[in-house]
Amino acid sequence: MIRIFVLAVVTALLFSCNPKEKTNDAGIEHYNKDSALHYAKGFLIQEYAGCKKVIVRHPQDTTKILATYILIPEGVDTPKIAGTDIIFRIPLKKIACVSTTHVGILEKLNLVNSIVGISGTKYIYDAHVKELIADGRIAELGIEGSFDFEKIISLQPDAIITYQYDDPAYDAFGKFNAVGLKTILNNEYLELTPLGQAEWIKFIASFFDVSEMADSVFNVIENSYQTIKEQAIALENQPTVFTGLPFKGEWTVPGGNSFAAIYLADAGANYLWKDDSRTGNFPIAFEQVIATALSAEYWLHAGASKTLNDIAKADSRLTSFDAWKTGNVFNNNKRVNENGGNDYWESGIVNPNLVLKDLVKILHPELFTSDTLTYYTQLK
Amino acid sequence: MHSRNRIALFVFLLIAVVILFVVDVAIGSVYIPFLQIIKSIFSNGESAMDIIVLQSRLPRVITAILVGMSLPVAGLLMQTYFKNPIAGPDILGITSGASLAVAIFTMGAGISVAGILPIGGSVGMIISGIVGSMIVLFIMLAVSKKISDSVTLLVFGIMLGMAISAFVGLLQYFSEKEALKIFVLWSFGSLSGVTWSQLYLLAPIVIISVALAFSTAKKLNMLLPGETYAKSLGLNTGRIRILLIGITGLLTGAVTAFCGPIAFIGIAIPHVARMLFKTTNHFILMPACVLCGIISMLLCDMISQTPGYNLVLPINTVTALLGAPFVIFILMQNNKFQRYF
Repeated sequence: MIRIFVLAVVTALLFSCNPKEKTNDAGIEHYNKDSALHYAKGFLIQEYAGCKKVIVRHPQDTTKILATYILIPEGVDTPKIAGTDIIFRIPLKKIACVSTTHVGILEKLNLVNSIVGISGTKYIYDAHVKELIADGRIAELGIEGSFDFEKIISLQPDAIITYQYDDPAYDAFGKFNAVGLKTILNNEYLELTPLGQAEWIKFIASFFDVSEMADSVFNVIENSYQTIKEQAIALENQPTVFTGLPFKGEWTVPGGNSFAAIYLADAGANYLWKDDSRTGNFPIAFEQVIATALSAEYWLHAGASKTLNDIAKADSRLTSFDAWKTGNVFNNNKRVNENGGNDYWESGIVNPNLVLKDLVKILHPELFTSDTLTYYTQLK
Repeated sequence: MHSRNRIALFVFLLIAVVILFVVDVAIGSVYIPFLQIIKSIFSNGESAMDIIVLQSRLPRVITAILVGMSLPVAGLLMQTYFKNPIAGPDILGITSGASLAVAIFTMGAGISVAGILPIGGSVGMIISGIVGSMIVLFIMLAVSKKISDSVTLLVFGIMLGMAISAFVGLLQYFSEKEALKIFVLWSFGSLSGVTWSQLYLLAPIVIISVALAFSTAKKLNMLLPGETYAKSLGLNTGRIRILLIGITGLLTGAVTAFCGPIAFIGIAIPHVARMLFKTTNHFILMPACVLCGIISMLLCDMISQTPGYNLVLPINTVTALLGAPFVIFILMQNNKFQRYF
């Protein structure tokens, strides 16, 4: 009996999916082309006559479709679309963000005036956005995990830019939809390459109908990044690098195929865990790090440390590392606001060329001698 | 049990402690030949191997020994005082108190974790842990003056622990992911985070408290038949209560602050000691708890080191995985244990 029931449900699902898909595409006609994306794997932009279709998928498993948006310019008739596609009238005018990385992208597109609310306003670094917050033109949405839904509803944003939460306890995505707020899934953080993350500027731009501007901004970033990368990887000397700071004896290091490792490879570094195949961070025994990195030349991203003494205070054993002794410790917290909000995570996302330039300048001081570091600082 | 057999058993346990100490120092994710370890111990600590042995393994193994001494002794005091086989250091809410203080430190409102951690983070967490457990300790002391019945006091301790845990839950609910992760990592427990400079603080606290606990052995023996009986023998039960709660608070607070909440050892080891030595005499049970505790912590530490792999398992998961079946066994055998109380 149970088997028959399961079979019936499965059959019903199979038959119900296909027609829906057809109605979806039947509504929007005359497919023209995919917008050219070179690095980002987490989204696709398809151009149709009179509208655009934006498909969000998992960057590391592109068969997983997470959301589909139909973007229709004002004045164009709304096609009849069934299914789960979400329709937006573009350009959007009022937007809410749940991450400072989204603010970074909007800053780059000169769209901060459309922001009506941000989660974690105190962590914002950008001076203009801070002014808007001080003037009350941008509201605080509450902290992640317990958003102020009434406030968000009262702001009546056209959409909330959010990201995918793997932990259901933090999944505000479903709650936003339940109260009738449209969400835009901006998963740039899941991309594994710096240029892939920056290319999400094209994703956000499509909702504001400024795709051409995004293309030209991105081209500048891309050219600059590639030029710096070519100079760095051509150098013979590739200094050894390790990253991070242990917590209670546990040291977390980025895998060899992770975002951080790709940055280091592009900057001409010999990252000590580059041969590990993982794309995420993984914990490693303290003594393993001592055995591998004791004589490494450079130490990057040492937690929230601001001075060499901060590292010594965190764990006295860390002073044994050569990089600590020689003072070759650099951290990405040069631009931090009074509450600890770090611009590296805000504008650094859309300025990978500047981040790479910093890294190359640190690891290969002979290059870019006249420039100063943007996001990084040497610990004294 | 014949006293000669007991002495033999003590000698056996002592030898086991020495062997396990050596083996634990030899075990880690990095392979170091035994002779190299000996050489490193007497070196000036310049090479990676020397640093691993001197700065990572020795402090870790000594921490394991101190934890193995303190929690079982605290557990024994509580089990005898409350006449309850499942009483342990965490029952009085002391561990919860330390957890709440650490939670306030890592996830507290208005504190930007990104800005303050891990700078001074470990020191801050240690201070919060001790302060948190001490506050609960003072509450328990104050209440113990009003509540004379030990079972009522036990229930009060459990309730206080639950209420405090609820506050921790509230903080977790409102905290950000990063801060939550730091707190969760702390709550897993770790022996590898303790450095020499911290050991200089932890070791005296543990040794003095354990010595104090030893000094109460006679009084604990008098308490076994009941408080009324102890009073009739002239024991000042009010003073002994303050002493026992004070020692437990110090032992649990210090260990929890430095290593995180470590589960099960405190409850399980006193039972192991009673089973091995078949006695209720605290003059025997105290050293037995110390030796069995050290052996079990060294064993758990070796397992957590996962020799041959690059990672270290959180100590709390190891003690719980080994300890939980044991506590279940105790509960199943409860009738047999009841005769000890």
